[in-house]
Amino acid sequence: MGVQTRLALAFGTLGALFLAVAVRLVEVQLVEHERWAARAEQITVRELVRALPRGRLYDRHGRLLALDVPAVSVALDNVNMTKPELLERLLQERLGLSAEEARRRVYRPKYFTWLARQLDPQVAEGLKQEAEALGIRGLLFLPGWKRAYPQGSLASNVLGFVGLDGQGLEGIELAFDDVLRGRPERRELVLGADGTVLEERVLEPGRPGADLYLTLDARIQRVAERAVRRGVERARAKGGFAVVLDPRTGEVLALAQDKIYDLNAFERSRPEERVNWAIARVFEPGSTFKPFALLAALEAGVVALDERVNGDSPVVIAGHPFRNAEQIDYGPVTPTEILQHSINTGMIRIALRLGEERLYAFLKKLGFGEETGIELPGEVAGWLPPLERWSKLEIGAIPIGQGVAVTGVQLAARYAALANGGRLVRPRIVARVVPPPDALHTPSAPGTERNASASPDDVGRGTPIASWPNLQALTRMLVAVVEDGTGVRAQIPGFAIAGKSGTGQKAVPGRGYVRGKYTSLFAGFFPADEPRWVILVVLDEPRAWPPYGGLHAAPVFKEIAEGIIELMHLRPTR
Amino acid sequence: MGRRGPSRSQPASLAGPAGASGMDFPLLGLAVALTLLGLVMVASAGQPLGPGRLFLRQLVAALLGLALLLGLARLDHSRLLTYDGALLLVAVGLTLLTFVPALAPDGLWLELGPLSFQPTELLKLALIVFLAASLTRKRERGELERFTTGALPCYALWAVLSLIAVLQPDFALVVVYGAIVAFMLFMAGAPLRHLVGPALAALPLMGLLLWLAPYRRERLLAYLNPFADPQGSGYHVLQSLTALGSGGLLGRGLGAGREKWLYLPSAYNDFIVAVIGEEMGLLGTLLVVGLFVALGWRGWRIARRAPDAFGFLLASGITFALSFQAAINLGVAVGALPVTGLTLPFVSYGGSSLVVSLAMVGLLLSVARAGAERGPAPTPTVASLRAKGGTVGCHSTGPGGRGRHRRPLLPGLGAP
Repeated sequence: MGVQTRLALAFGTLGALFLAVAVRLVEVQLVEHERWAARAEQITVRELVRALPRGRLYDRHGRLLALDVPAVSVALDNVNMTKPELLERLLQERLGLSAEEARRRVYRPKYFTWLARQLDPQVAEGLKQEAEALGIRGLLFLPGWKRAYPQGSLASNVLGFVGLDGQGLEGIELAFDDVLRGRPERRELVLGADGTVLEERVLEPGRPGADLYLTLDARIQRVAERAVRRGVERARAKGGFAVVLDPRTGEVLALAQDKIYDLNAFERSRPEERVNWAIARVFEPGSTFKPFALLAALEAGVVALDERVNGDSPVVIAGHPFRNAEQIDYGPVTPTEILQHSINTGMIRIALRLGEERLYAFLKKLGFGEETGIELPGEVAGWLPPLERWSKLEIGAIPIGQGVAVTGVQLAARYAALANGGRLVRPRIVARVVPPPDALHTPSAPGTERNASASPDDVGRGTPIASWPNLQALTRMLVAVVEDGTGVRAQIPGFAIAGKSGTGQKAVPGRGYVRGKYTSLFAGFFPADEPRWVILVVLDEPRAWPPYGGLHAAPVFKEIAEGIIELMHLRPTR
Repeated sequence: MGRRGPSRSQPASLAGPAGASGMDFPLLGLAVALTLLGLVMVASAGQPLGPGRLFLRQLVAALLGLALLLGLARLDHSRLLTYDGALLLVAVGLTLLTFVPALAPDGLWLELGPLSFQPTELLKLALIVFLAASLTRKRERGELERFTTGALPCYALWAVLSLIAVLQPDFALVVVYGAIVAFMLFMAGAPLRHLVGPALAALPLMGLLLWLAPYRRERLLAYLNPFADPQGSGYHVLQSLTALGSGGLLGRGLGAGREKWLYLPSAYNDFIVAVIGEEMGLLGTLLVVGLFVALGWRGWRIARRAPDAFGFLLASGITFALSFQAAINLGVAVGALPVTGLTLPFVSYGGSSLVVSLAMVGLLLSVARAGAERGPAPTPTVASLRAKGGTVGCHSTGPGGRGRHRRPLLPGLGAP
């Protein structure tokens, strides 16, 4: 074999090797490209989700009720951790875990174990630094947000709260979750094996949630909560609540109840505290219902304002006697006196003139037995028995507020119609939604507002429920109730206050009315000549005797009204 | 087997671009191109270790290597015939110094003050020079025909060097040395049975060596099935293939590679072609293959036109060594060969390797210049070599055996 041949053979072999390499390169880089590219993505690309803050809650004047503050959650990659003994001790010292709990969380065959949710960033930073100093690896620090309620327990029944995963669980936080919730930003990171960020790309721009301005007035809410709490204590009631709303617009200014809880520690709340009593619980309105029945009679013309009606007790219908409180015989009484002294028999005798159909039609027109549509979760409709199911007794019971069930918001909203010239208003709790400034994605300028609750004609829909003179007359009667009637304890010198007391009997499902269980009520509005505030006070099962609304609920009404007068710097009108 | 009888002689007019200066510019261009590509890619692949750190060292080595290349290109290659033994002794001596912990903390790099270099790189070159010289002498004396005087001493040398390599430990060198020895024996015209026989005998020994060291065994098993343990032994190859494959036709762009960010081990070194593939795509990798093929072709051409037998063996040995190592390195990168730890000449990070590779090209240029000046010697044939007698072993450097002056390789064939 010649040297040339050997040379050719040797270099031919090398050439073949290079050719083989080239062929393989084409295979790997062209034919299998997709597959290897996918594997590279899998190894190097991580998706990062960054939570953006939830919208804030404000009261009608911009007082902050809820906001998101930065917080860091800490988790542990148990599989990749180092120095578990030191970590155990660190968790006890820094996070206050018990020795047993620390041990349980450290020794798990998992890639992810929560150690602490929503820590103060400074606490998390301290933990991080100490862990680094000790050479502990495997801790994961996940920045996020924590809901904070600067006013503590104020309006806890309205605001509700947010779970650890950022989901609204009660109240406004639940009802407006989709509005309040921020859209997380999704980013794609290309990472080196040591965590170096090589490329970064926003997949989906995030957006903070929209802010919500409530119709609530935090100061009035505070006044009302205090008044209710004191009223409940005085009457030794099981509970109580109050509704304050603006009769002109239906805007709810306060939804106060005695059962509240610290929103910043919602996990310690009790179920009955989380209930919004004014919208989720029904009660019999008792005598606070009489103005509606009387207004129906006035509208039908079956009774005149100066007409006298028999006020003696009892009225017997189908063998059942309806009595006055304490069985007093009042003799002939005017409609004003019927309201002033809450005379059941007089009211029933007028209702009998009116008849079942007209009474029912009027109450139906007012929307009793229907949800008001307030933007809060858990509203119930109450109960107005349909006419075809009325027995002989309903015409006696319903005018005095028995055999019907209402919610606080419902009753307050109907009193608003009495106060505003007969327009039915839908109670509302959200004044406006303010989307975050986001010039990039919405053409509208920052700070533009949109109305949360439908169109303006939603306020005062339909025709007035009654004629202006009759409404005026009814207001004068209600003023008389406070000036010289069952409502005297709601009097405030210098102010004309219209109101009506009520004492509802409590029915227990399956047992009917239960002796000794009452609801003590007072509903009204002021100033009577130009009403701006409707206030309803409900005390549940007062144990003080007698349980009359004029005795227990009226002073709470008065305290709230006085608070409003002071807050608004109202001048006495007389 | 093979063609016998008078071989073709090359007309002087085909001497090619090695013009008046005698410089083979295409070869110089290829070496510079590969070096520049290496500098760029080392800069890119070295990014995770801090900008410029590896690049600067590589740049210094490149400048040093180029200076050496130009110096050696001017040298008359036949003068090496005087120093081949000394060169080998120095290289072996330096390599042995790496066993002194104070001088070589990690056993591979000799650290002399601020300089550190890998003596085994020099040893590769020294081995080629020595074998070329020694086999030339043997051929003149006709010692190649007998196994004991021809191939055996060379195998003995290989065994000694392999022992050093295994102790280092750098098993790949055993293969490289073996390939060089076998190739040069083959080129010198040793009888094929002297090559095939020992190769068959050595196979079980090689297998044993392979199996004895666990890391080598793992590498081999990983080569057979890289997906069996993607986080372990198969990791290198998988990451290399991922880098190459994700690069596609055009790559992610220079500097935009991802795998080099500590996913791909030795990205700037053994697997630099994976970085090239990821950042410059198939075009980049084929460019590398093309440059090495061109380099090999140019080296082959120079060997064929070598003015004497020493030049022929030197040129073909150098060309083979560079091409072989490149082929192995590329073969590893595409997963066709088990992981060896061999670098890609000129391109991979490593000053010693770069300096020696450029020096090799310098010697190639020297042979090319001599070939252009004197015209190519008619290629020696085995038959013509058989006419010569004498027995001088590979290690024999006796005074009588040294060719201090150049003699015509073959009787009756002088330079034109």
